[in-house]
Amino acid sequence: MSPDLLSVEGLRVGFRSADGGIVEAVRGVDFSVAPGEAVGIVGESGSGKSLSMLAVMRLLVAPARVTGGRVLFDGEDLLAADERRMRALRGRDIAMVFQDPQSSLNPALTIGRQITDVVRAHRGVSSAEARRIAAEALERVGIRDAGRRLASYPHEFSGGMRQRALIAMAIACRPRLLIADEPTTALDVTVQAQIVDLIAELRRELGLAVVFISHNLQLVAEIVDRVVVMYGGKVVEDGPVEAIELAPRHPYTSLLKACVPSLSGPVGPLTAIEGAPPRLGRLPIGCPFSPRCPDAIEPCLSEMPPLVTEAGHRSACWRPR
Amino acid sequence: MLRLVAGRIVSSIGTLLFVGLALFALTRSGPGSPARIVLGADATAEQIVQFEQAHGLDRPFLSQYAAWLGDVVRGDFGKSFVTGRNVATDIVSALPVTLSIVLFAFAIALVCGVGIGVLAALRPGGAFDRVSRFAAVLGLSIPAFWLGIVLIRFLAVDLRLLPPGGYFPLSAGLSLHLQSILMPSLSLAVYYIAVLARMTQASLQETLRGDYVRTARAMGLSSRQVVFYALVNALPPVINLAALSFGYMFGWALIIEQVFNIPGLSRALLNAISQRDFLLLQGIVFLFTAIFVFANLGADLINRVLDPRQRAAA
Repeated sequence: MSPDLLSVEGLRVGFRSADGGIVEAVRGVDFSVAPGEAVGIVGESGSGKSLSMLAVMRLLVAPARVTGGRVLFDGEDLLAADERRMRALRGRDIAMVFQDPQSSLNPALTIGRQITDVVRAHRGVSSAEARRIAAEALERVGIRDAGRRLASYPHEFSGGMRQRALIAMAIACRPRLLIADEPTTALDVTVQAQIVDLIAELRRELGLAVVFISHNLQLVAEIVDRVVVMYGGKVVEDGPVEAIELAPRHPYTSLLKACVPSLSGPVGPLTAIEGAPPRLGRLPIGCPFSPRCPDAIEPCLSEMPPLVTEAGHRSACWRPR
Repeated sequence: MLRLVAGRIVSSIGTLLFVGLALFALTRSGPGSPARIVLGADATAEQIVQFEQAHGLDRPFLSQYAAWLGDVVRGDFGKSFVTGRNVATDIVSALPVTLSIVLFAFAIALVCGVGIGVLAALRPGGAFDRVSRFAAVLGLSIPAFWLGIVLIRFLAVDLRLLPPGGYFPLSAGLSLHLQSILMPSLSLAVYYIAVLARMTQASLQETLRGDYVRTARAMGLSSRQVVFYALVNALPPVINLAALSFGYMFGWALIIEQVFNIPGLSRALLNAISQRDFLLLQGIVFLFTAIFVFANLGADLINRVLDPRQRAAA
């Protein structure tokens, strides 16, 4: 058995299109997460990063569906598990928080009700005990006066507090894996940093493995051990965070890095990657990044480069840097 | 909260006053004086003037209205010119009949409508959804009185399961009472089952797509709880529609009562119209208006309690 906590192998997600065909948005993604490890998944909108993780959670909504691959969690194939088994795993062993804390909490129910419902779904505890656990989780995510705050409604919380409450729901049952799908994108910059710090802290304290999905390489690099870069539904690079930071092999990764202005270096013009991400169903035959790549040569356009592993660092490029 | 409720109640009363005025004007603008009806075609002009004076019909319109309103506030709907009976007594004796049919129909519509809507929303495009859509179109297009006649034909005449008409009060025994109001209530309810089912289905299908529903699923909540999470947010439009339906049902109940020969308010109202019995007519219509206005007020208040954002704002 592999020592990985989560292992995604050849995962494919497709949409049934109007003409009956299937348009693939995730096209054979492999990566793994070791127990307690933090992995960042980075890529532009439409790269397939969120879809991949929704597929892992088995939360895809029609017309999206898994069209191939395996997802092993602690050795168990989640894609073969029944819904009952998935319900037991979700929230207890794997939890996921989403992008928009504004709409991700139920506006009609108190924060306490929403956290205790999660606790009671997974543990046969009394309601008083569930409230105690909920208050403890809320306190752990840095909400002061947690016991009293259980009675608050989501609209009485700020955006950052709502995301904290969602994280409290996610960690209340002490899962082994937390998937955070762009948890800071909808928040102010100062609050973003707090949420990132909170996730890093929870990881240390609870020994959580974390998958942090973001389009911001710089932000992710602060708390993860490893970065998986996705483009056009494929993994284009995957390596230790230091290697990705210092010596990215894929041109897309280096361009992505250049997009975030440095705070310490000289002030220069903001850079952007020319062009737009490929549209679904219109993916190039070769490397998906080739139409926008400054380094593209002939084989890039006609043939998909294989993922090559070198010293624990994978990349898929005909002309690695 | 209290101030808000008070505000809504005051505005509801305002609505009632206005409707009362319009009602008063309408009854009085119709042709024919009640004096002519009561005294007969042979009455002299003098007799008619005398009758009108005796009943205050010769006074200015607004002063008649003010006097009537003043009495209504004290619970006195006046004495009928025609029958000489107390209007309030007449209404109170017929109201329970109509009320029991409407309440039963409303309960059927609420339970079946919301139930069907929820089941249909769970699997959009599924077999139940498609069948319920078809049934809803059918339910919306079948007139209640026709359905009543069909029910009488099959359930009462052919199968002899239920009495074809008439009414037994609750005091005659629960079984007899229910038997007598089952067909009328069902005929009345079908349209509203369809309306409420469609609204519930549409609203729930919308909230089931919400991010908080995805969160609930991502945290491993049971399907029943996930549906509950969506339903609490799907209910407000359903509650508003239910309140409107409740008000409309009183109107339709009048026709249903005729079909099933039930001595409810319809008989009193139709008599009042044909006999120019202004006070009885005003009393019944004013009562219906009040029910309509307060049903909507109730829906408003329930929705405020359900939505913590509105509760806090109050």
